[in-house]
Amino acid sequence: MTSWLRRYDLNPANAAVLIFLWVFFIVFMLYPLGYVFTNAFFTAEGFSLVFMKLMFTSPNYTIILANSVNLGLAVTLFTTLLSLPLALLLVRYNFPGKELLNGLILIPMVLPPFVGAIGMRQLLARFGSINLLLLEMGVISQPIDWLGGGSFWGVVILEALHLYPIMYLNLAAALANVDPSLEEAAKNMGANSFKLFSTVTFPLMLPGYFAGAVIVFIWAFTDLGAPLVFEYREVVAVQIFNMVTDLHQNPMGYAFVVAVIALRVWVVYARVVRSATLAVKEKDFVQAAVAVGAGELRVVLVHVLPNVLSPAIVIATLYVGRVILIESALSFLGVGVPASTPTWGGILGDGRSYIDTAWWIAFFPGLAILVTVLGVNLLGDWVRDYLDPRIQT
Amino acid sequence: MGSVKFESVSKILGQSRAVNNLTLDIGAEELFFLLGPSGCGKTTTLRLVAGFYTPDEGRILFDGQDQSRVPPHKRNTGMVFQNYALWPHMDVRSNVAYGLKMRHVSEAEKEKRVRHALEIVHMQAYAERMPNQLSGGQQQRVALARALVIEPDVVLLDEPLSNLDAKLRVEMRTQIKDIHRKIGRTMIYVTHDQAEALSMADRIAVMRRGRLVQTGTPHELYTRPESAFVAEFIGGTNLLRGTLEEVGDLLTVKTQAGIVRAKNGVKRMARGEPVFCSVRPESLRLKPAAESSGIPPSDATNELLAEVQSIMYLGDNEQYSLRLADGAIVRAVEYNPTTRKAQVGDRLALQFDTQAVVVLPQEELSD
Repeated sequence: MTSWLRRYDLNPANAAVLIFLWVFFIVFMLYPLGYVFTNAFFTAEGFSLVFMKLMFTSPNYTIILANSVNLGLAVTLFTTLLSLPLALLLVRYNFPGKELLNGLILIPMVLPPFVGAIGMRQLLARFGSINLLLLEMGVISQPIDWLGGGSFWGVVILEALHLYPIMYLNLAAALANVDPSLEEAAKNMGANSFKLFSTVTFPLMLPGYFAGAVIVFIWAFTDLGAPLVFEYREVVAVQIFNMVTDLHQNPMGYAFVVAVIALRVWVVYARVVRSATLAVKEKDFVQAAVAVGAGELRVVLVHVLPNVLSPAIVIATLYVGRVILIESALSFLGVGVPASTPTWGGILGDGRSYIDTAWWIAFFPGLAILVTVLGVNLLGDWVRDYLDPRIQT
Repeated sequence: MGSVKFESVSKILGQSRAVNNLTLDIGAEELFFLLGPSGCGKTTTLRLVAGFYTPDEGRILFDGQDQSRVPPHKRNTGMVFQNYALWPHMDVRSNVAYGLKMRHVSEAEKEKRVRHALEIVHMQAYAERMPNQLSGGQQQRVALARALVIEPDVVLLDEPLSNLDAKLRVEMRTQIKDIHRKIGRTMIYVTHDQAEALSMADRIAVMRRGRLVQTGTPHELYTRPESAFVAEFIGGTNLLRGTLEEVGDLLTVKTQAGIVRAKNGVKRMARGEPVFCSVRPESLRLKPAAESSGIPPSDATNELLAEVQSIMYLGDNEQYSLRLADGAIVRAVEYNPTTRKAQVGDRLALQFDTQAVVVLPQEELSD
């Protein structure tokens, strides 16, 4: 044992961390994913692509797949249209109240998505506030169906309002990284504002834009809460969910839910860890290890992994907040953990019926969710500062 | 075509006047240098010409036309940036063609002019390369081609050579000067490197703390500086502290180390005024003190006694550091040093012509 440790330059403490990490990944990611994959690819007769084939050929399923793709694309487009002007405004111009606006823009990130959905339903439903107001004023005689028959656009707008901060953060970072002299050079060569943006600024922002777009797309593609609230059932996430609830005794359902959450978290995880790895890979000490003959596995485990751990841990703490939000959304909707287990999302859902007479029933669990998520985010910030070697003095 | 005129231009950045009441005439087809230490306002001045800044006071005219409020993309200037600012997502050809595309030049014409511009900077073989596949010097030349291809009224160069290594920098000086001669356009060139300015410029404007200090040809600035700052900044000099004793055909200055007489000086200085005598290191002749009679050999010559502090041998020249009677240190240069003139600790007589001395008002020099 000790010789093994010495061979890999490990002390017992970081060996324990490494082992814990591997166990964590195996139990919480590899095993459920393996479960999902075996169920998806193996029938009683062994390996089979029959389910995959079904997904892409059966008209019922292809429509669902197409709906989800369309939803993802539409949400990506909407968040782009919303975030691009915001990013340009906030990065390029100075005005009073800028800091405040910057903070307000990010609020949807700490709110469970269904909060917005309920609000929007209150406003835009057939007998929602806007229609009632217009009827009262005599502007219209029949309530207008704002959300359209299939609620598709309702889901799109809600997802866009929930996800635009992710797009905004990516675009703002990309924009702030554009070298000002590159833009000045274009102006100097005769480019007006429009040409400047389309030929120089935006092309230089593209990597950041794609990063944001991929996250938004996958998020919208896999989101369950918003389609459920709007009762828009013809998307992949809701279909998975239905299959899961139909088969109460089938443990596979849980695996699907884990898979959906894992898919979302993985996107962000993979991005951060990948960029950290790319940076570490170029470091001299890694090159030196390769030069003296360290094997690939050894380089990855001993030299790279410990150095990308801190961003990974930070993301993990940030994602505790995310998972609380996702869980509360599921509980609010009456799914997820059994009703006998009290959760904030569940209480919030129960309190909804009494909002007019006993607002505190819904208010305080909502507040508790908000405070917890904010608290976990602050903790994540602190961990990041604590682990960042550049900040340590 | 291409004259630029500043009329009492000021630009306020933050709390300070980055450019303060600047009046300047830059002639057509001139290779004009803005020279000064960092933070003197020379880059701000250049950016005012490009239109990235608008003046807070005063006007900027191109060929008599007020351009103060014209946005950068409507001024016909071509700028070369310090960091080259080549667009990394376009190849060399697209980078150079960009300005022509913005001007809706026809394809055939564009093709011809891009090729010509790349030929001027000897980069025609690299048209398909991406900027990150080029060395610093090559990127620099592409940036120059990009600025020239639009046939600008004024070419603006912002410390274009400062990111290149020393040898390449000297090579590029000649190339840029050649290009200027070939294309015959006004060029405004910003640098803090006085050797670059002296070797290339038609005329130089020296700036300090946002103000114009002196304008002139390299020769004028070097031989007739009007302030101790210019004398010190351009070429380096010895400044002997003293008091002006007599004004007339010859100026007589009493220094702690002895009397210095000068042929040249700034006008309107009164007797009794504290002054600097500027003497260039190469104007000092070193004679053994034993050969000196103690009196200057002629009326046209000064003589001061000094002791050798240190000697630095640099091959083509030898630099002496000498201590005068009052403790002040002066530098002297001997070119083509075949035999050593003195050893450390030797006492020498420093002889220099009255013609080589410029009397200047005292001022604070640290910047």
